[in-house]
Amino acid sequence: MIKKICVALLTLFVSLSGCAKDYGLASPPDSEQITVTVKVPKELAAETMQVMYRSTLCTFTDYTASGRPYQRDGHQSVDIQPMRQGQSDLYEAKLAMDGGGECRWRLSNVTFGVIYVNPTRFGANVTYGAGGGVVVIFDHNNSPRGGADMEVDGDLTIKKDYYPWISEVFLGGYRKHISLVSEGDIYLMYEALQARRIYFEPILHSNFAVTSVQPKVKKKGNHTSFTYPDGSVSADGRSDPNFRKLQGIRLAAESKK
Amino acid sequence: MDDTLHYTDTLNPRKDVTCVIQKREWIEFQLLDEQGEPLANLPYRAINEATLTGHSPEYTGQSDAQGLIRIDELYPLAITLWLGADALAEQLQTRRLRAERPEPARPIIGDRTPLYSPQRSCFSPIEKEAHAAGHVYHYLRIGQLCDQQPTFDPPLADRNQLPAYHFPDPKFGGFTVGDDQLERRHVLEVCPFRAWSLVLHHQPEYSLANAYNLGLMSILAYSTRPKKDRGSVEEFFEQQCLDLSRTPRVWDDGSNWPCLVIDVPFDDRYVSVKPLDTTKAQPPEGDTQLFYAINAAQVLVAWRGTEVGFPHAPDLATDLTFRPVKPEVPANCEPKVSCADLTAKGSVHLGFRDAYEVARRIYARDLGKTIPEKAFDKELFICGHSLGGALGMIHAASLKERNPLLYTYGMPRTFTLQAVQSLGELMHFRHVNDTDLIPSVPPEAALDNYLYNLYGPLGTSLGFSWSILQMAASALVKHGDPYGHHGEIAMFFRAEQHREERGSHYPAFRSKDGLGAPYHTTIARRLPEKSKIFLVPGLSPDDNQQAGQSQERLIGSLNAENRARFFPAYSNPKEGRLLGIRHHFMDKYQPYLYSQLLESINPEREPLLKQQEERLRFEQQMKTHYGSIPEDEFSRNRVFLDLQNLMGQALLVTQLAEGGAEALNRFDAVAEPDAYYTKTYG
Repeated sequence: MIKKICVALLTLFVSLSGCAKDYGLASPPDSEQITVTVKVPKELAAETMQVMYRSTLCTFTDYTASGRPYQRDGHQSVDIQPMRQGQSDLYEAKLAMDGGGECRWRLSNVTFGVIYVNPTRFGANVTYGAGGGVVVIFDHNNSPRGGADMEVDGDLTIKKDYYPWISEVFLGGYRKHISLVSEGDIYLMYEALQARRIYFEPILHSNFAVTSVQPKVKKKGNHTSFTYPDGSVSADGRSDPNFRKLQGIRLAAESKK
Repeated sequence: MDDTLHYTDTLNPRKDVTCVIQKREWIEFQLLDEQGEPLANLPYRAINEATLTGHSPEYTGQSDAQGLIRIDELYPLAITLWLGADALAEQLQTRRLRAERPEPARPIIGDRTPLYSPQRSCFSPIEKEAHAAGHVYHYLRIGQLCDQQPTFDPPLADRNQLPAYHFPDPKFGGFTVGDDQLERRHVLEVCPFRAWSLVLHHQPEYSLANAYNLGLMSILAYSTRPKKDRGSVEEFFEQQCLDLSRTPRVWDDGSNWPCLVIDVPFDDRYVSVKPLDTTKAQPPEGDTQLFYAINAAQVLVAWRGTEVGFPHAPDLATDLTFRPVKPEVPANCEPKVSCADLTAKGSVHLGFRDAYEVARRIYARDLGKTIPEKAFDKELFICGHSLGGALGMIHAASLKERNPLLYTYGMPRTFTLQAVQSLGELMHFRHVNDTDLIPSVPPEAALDNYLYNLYGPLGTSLGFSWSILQMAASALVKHGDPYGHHGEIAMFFRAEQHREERGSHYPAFRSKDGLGAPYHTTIARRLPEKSKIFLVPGLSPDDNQQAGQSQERLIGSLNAENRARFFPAYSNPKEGRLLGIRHHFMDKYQPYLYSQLLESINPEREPLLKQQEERLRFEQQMKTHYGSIPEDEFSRNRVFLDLQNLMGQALLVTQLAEGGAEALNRFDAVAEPDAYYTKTYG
């Protein structure tokens, strides 16, 4: 009988405490921190950082394709605006690794980057397209944009070359975008399990812009045409600029000087 | 022993050593691809201890037209061979794979077998030839022969992480032959430098390859696994699609579906592979999930379905507040992205549009720029199951100028009829599994545009042979602009048969018309054999029309009593039974496509597939009871079975495509015939 009561009480307490759980983030003041610094080139601006926390205590139910329920880690997102350091071009944000709260949130990943601050500089109705982003993952989970392409030990320093890319599209309504082209995709994806400092320095080569125009009709043989900074034109079926070619053009031009 | 200078030395500088002139040896390497074609004119370099110590110069040259490299005057030492990386990669990219792969078992947890071990012996026919001719045989991959990293275009995501299957040796140690293996010819079969691509045909006709592969992609869209785990989106495209020893498989919940794949040059592999999960909102509300994968020819987008928990309240089935809203969406749009109107006329479901807008706003760069721009130069494929189908439909509508090909599975009604009609050009095949409930929500009005166009208002109320529940929905009135379905239907139909008997010899028995009744009461009984029929009316528009008319007559000729007793599937879902929901999940759809694919690849396999046997028994039953089966039901089943026999057509394009026959052979070799059983009961 006593056993039964114990079980009943236990069930009651567990269920009650389950209901009472506070899902909020409450980072303790002494939490370990990760410092993210972005060196922002003149024409660009630092984007709002999206910081994601994960909890193995607060889970939610998800379903497989065959309808079987299973538990997934809970997650929370916070937006953080990186702060400019004095009059410098450095923008910095500190991310608490411990998200605290009853769910014991842990820092999982951060998405940040640079974008063109004033796209209309490239013409009226020009909007920002893509590129210039970075995702750093601090655990073994995927970010909202998938997993990491590169793994680093210790702190992370990213220095990459970027080129402006002006693209025009006619199909489905005229659009003109200004984007940033680099080695990676839209986002550079890193996994840095031990990092405490992250430094991102995009090196923008504004004088080496590439432009692209898509034909007005989609049909076989119609391809996006790219004009590179050296005046060469190619329309060979590829849909992004050739980064290696851009690097080559710039290095050749710089060595001439 | 007082001589302190006396000591022994392994290197005696003072004594002459006498020996005979060393015998010189030869070696031959023959470079072949998997088809047995030579790899000609490849620059090579070979070294041994003698060249390293400067006793002889390095051996260099080119393979000849037969792919042969011969080196003479060798000291009897182990020799290591390298080939020029870029020349080798360029040539190997153009070579085709043999159809069947060795398919080594995937090591399970705790098994220390490497994922990419050497190919098992006695597998290759080239090996047999080489042994018969007295040569030594080796199966090699590009990374075991090339002298450095070849140039990748598009480049690798991480330069330091070479694809593990093709490059088992990241140090480029070359291929070494021991000193006891000289004076022989070594046949080196080199694996072509290729990658897997899903077989997809961008065409307005129904294709079974499309249906099967896009069904699998709709399953994969449910994956929430991290990148390195088996079963994740990235693992599928970035690892399995680069592993040529096995057929890539989609792994979900214990099922392990092989894909129908074709080999393409390595540079044409899937590169931009992004699983996107809008974790912005508090889970689970507003959580929209999709992935896209882009290779040289395809832009593939798969949307994830809804969280329907059975028997708990399914979001979609209980959400009866389906409010159509205008499809234009300027208010909710990300300011950075200009928004094109989805359709010229009509409305779209608010909940679906909101779910789409969440993704569109958070992934503005992917959905607003990358996918639309890349879809210009490549073929665009969109797919999804359930809610994923609805989201895919909205996505396809927003990209309609880029000519998307859409395959959906168990999707709910998304657009209103007017909108559907203005999207007439969009290529869309919509799969419905028997009495799946979801395709008949929102239940505002049961309409199917396909039959609507065919028969007018009557057809929409009675002629709904393809999605039975909709016919029973009570709100059959056409009011305002109701929701309708878009696209050509592909249905998995569970056919039954009935036998009619006279219920009573007394003419007025249980007849409302009393003694004046002109007919005897008849009672129908369900016959035991049932059969699954895969119906794609688009394969034969004429047959479809005939089946529709016959279905219409069948329904019309039944009286209310018989209908209630023998056609429970026709009951109104609003009366409280969510009977169709268990037909809804992807594990109920995919087995049909799997079995049909196997059946169409080889209709005369030994033994026959279960579904074929069932169908034979069903046809036998039709013959046995001919005369007592209601005529309309009989002719409907006849037409349906004929339609089923047309399914072979849906594989013709694949069979005729370059490499298509090999892809089908490969699939047939790995697929177990009765691994996934399609239910006829329930």
